[in-house]
Amino acid sequence: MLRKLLPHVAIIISVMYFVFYFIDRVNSAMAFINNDITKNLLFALGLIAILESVWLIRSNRAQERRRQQRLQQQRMESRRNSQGGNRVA
Amino acid sequence: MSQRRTQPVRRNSAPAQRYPSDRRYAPVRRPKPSRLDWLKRQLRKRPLPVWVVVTIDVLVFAVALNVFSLFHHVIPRNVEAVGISSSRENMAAQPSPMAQELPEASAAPAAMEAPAATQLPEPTATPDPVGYFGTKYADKFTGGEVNQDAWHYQSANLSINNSTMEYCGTDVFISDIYVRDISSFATAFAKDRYGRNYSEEIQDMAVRANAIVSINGDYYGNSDDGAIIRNGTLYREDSYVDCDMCVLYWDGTMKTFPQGQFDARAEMEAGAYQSWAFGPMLLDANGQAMTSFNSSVNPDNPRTAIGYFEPGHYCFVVVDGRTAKSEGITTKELSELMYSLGCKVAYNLDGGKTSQMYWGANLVNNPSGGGRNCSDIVLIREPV
Repeated sequence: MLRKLLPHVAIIISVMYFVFYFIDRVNSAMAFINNDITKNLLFALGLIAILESVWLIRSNRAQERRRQQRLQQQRMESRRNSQGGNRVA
Repeated sequence: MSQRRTQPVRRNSAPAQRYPSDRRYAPVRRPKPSRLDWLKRQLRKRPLPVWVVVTIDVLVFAVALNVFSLFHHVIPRNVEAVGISSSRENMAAQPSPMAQELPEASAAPAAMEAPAATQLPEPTATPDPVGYFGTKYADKFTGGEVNQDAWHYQSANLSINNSTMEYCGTDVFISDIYVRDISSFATAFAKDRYGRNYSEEIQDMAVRANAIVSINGDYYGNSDDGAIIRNGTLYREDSYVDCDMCVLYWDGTMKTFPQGQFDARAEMEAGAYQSWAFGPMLLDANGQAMTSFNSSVNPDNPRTAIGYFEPGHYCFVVVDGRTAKSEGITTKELSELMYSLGCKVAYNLDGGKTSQMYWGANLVNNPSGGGRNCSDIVLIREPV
């Protein structure tokens, strides 16, 4: 569940930061970026980014491992087939 | 052989439980699946359509922004003040900040004259107390009676003359102020509380503080930036101040500080009485009009500014804008206006809908959108 929600949370916080960035350029006196709330949001965004990245890296590695295993399996099967074919021949 | 009796099989029923006493099978009622379980099952079977996901994200984003606004600039909260105080008695023991600046100002054009400039402040036989200008502007004040009408106020302690003019196609309201004692130049907080997001109608603050004339302040409550010194007390100090600062000292002098050059504690020791953190400063160190400003809000706007001529003599300037009659002025035009009025120091306060001037309890200008609440005011009143 968390893995499904976190990307959406990351998108929402990022878009909030876009909004803060633009309105801060219009009226910097309101301190839309330089305040405690946005600092905590930035911390949360950083944390989510790290979690997401770790999950993505792990998922990519698992995918790569599966692909390698599949390739190895295919190679073994083709070798076995070729050896069997020779015997038949 | 024993004959077993079994209940008829029902859909959605749990496996029957055997009771040893009567050796009968009784169905156990499984709790009815909740809507959430149903939703989870559905989502597992088939993910939501993209447009539904995007809509949910947008809605959550809108809610998150509203919650942010609520905590950022709506819900008032108390903030602990630094609590350091300055007093005019302490300031009497040291030269005024403006006097300290004099040698530096004269050093640039003629370095040889610098030693002579340091001899300028010669002690008089009976010096006035710090922040007292009764002798200097004796002709401005009355013997005790109060003369007041819709545009003027003259008493033993104050002399205020309001005027209006058209400048760059915009209505400008100017209040020319002489004070006998610096304590007449005061500030007030919304709801008489220092904190974040407190705001109140300027009229209510002005009436409560017995203000003769009042303008909006720097709206300190909407920002964490900048030091706040009010009526001689340091409420907030900021290690790095992003905006230009303005300080009024107990001796009646006023000084502006460019971004990043302000030290609250040092200025408190120098006798700071009031400070404002908004800006930008409108005149340079030599009192000349400026062309570039430390502000991103430079186009035509309603504006409020505070001007300093000399100790005891100040002006409040409020400029209308965003209306059919007045479109407002740029920061550069405001700088030129303050220079043309003869100000030596001038500083921009909060503008836009906040820009308002009150004469007693009466609104003087025509604020954009009817005006709005503010977290603080600058006011002139009879000494308390």
